[in-house]
Amino acid sequence: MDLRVLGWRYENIRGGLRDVSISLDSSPGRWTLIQMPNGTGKTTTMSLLRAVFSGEALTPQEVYDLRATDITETGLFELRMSINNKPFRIQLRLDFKNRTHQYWTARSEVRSGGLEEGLSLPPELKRLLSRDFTRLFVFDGELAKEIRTVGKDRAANAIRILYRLDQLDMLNVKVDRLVEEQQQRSAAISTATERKGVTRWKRQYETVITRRTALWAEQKELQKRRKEMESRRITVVALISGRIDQDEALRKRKEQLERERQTIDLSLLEATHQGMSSLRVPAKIHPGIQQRLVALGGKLTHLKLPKTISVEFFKELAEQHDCVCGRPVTEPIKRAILERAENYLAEDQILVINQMKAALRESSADSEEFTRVATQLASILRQLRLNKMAHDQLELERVEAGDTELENLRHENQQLERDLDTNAQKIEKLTTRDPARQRALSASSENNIPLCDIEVKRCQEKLATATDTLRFVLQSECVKSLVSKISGLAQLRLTERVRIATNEKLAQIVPSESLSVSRIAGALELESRQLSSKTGVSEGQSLAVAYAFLTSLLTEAPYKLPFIVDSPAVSLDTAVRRDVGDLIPELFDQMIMFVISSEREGFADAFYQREGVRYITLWRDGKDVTQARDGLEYFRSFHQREGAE
Amino acid sequence: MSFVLHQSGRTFFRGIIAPPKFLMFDAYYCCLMAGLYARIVGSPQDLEPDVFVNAYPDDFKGQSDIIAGLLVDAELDRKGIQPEDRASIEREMVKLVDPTSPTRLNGEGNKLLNLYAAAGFALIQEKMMPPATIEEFLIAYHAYWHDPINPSGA
Repeated sequence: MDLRVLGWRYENIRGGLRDVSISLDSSPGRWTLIQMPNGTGKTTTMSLLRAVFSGEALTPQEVYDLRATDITETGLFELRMSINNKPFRIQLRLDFKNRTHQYWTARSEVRSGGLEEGLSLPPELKRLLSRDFTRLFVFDGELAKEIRTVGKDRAANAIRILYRLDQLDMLNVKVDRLVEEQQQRSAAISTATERKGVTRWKRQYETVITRRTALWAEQKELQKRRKEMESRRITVVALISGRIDQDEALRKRKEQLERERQTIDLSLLEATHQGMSSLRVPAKIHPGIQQRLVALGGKLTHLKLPKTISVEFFKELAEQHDCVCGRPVTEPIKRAILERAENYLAEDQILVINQMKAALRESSADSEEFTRVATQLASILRQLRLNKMAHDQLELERVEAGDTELENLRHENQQLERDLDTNAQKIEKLTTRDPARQRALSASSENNIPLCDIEVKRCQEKLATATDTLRFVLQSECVKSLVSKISGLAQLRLTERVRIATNEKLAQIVPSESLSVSRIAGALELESRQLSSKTGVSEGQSLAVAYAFLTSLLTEAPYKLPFIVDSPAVSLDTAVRRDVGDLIPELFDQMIMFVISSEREGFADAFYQREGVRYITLWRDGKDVTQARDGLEYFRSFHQREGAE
Repeated sequence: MSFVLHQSGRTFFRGIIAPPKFLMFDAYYCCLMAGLYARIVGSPQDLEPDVFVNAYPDDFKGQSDIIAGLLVDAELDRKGIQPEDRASIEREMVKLVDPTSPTRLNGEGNKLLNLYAAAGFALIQEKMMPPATIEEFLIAYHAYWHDPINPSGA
């Protein structure tokens, strides 16, 4: 599906946008650069674009805040676009007096071509263009932070929605519906006694389904709460750090401790890496393993094993008239030879055993290596504990000096730690599949999802037997299990593909930083060459990561969407700007970029040599009315004092 | 080839499973080494119902001969096959080795490997708490191997 923006129009919108029309022609160029000084409605335009794409419901206050002046009664924002080359026109009609709004759509499929109330996009697109998803391509700077924020799950959700994996979940819902329909049909033709049994099992089945739904809801709530607490903990730790910084002497000590901590982290990372390398070689784990390997190799050599005579030799011999000793190979002898031949290795087995023997004999790993690394790790962990204690001491000193806010923050942090522990225990009780843990936690089908699943299955089978639909139910379960596996596997593979593509692009954009995405769980997790995980990321780095991720995500997706971005380079260094300016244009079929004059250098000027670029400049005239002008010359020479929007 | 974990393994190691740094297979392998060295097999009832991975991860591919060798060694000892009993040793190898498999082991060998890993898990679980970090696990795993009263006899 191909979506392109053809233009938009404002009527009576804040920022002086009283009657302004932006036309990108019926076949828009690949790149459009729109220069708008701060305060002329860039943020408003981005919000309006997001609203009309997703059809999001605005609050009365949001509607009211869009008015051009206090006496304006109505306003309009109209977006023109093409979807698979068919024109669509969406209007957001604003009633400032009553603080209400309505969406209207005109589309070529409707014969009259007139406007109809509501947002009437093709269903497939409507499902895709949720409020959150729209923020990916009508790019919001905040999103650059959010895709790395634990708890927001933006990154993983984006992959799921864009590649339509949610449709697989829907397929399972449809299968359930089919089963229900089939059971209703079967129950309808049963006798009265049979119907009693059906009713009984149906009731039990429904009860257990309701219970499972409640357990799922509880799990979701606990996970949500967990993410909120984790997020709050990050904030609290930052606030604690801020309190320390208020005392100059403590700040210096803290910085010194942080430098030490970085060195410790680096040593820890290296030693852990080395430890894992040792661990993965059996002979390095313990000298005893090495001894056994060598002994087995020696034993095989001593016994001249494997024998050189193979099973094939005896099979061939059994087919001969005479044995090598000259006696005839009769039927009983043939059978005996063939039977005993199975005790001999096949030729290819001999080859493998010889390889194994060689590997065993030559196994000469340093069996003390693992001990050295473990000792080193223990020492590093001691240093880490001391560093943490010293850091804790700083906080205590500040508290003793009377910083009650810090004291409160420390208490909150400790409470969060305890709450996170309790939360983890509750989640474990709810979700563990481990029978030993289930027993230890007194889990039952009343409070444990996997056990409840088993109960659902039992009731379902009883119901299926009563309604004579057992086979149908079992087949449906097979389909659902397969669909779930496909969905999980697809998510894993797509995520990995997007991660690799993101890192390739990051290496192009910020080659000096060696910044990379280590994992896409819910959020993007970063690492740099220096540290195993990276949390302190500058705004420029954050933007670079977001661009790399979004372009990787969107360019290979089954949907061609425009990429609309506000101030794409404002927080980037000039050098990085150039790299972004060189890289980004090739990634999308349509890009609309709102820039301010300071972004011309390094970013916008990278487009000047390109063909097919549209330049538009918007500014407010002396009467506070926004004007628009086309062309590169005006775009380059435009100069107006930037204010704040 | 299909590797199966002890049914409590996933819970025990959940604090440190973080591919590619620490794979589920790393957990399985650590248990396997303990089980093979102790020459104890677990029970099929101890295993999870599903396979967690079908092949050796890249980091272990080079160790396939050694792991197969350790299995043969453990089996010879467990079955009390005398060191000079050439025929029985060869018969044991025939039972376990499949040249077409990347792990060098056939179905029987694979099944035994899973049972050794399950027994190894029980030994490890007895000696250490569920690890919270990879480094803590490495230290504890090293201590397990060097514990003078280790049931593995290491």
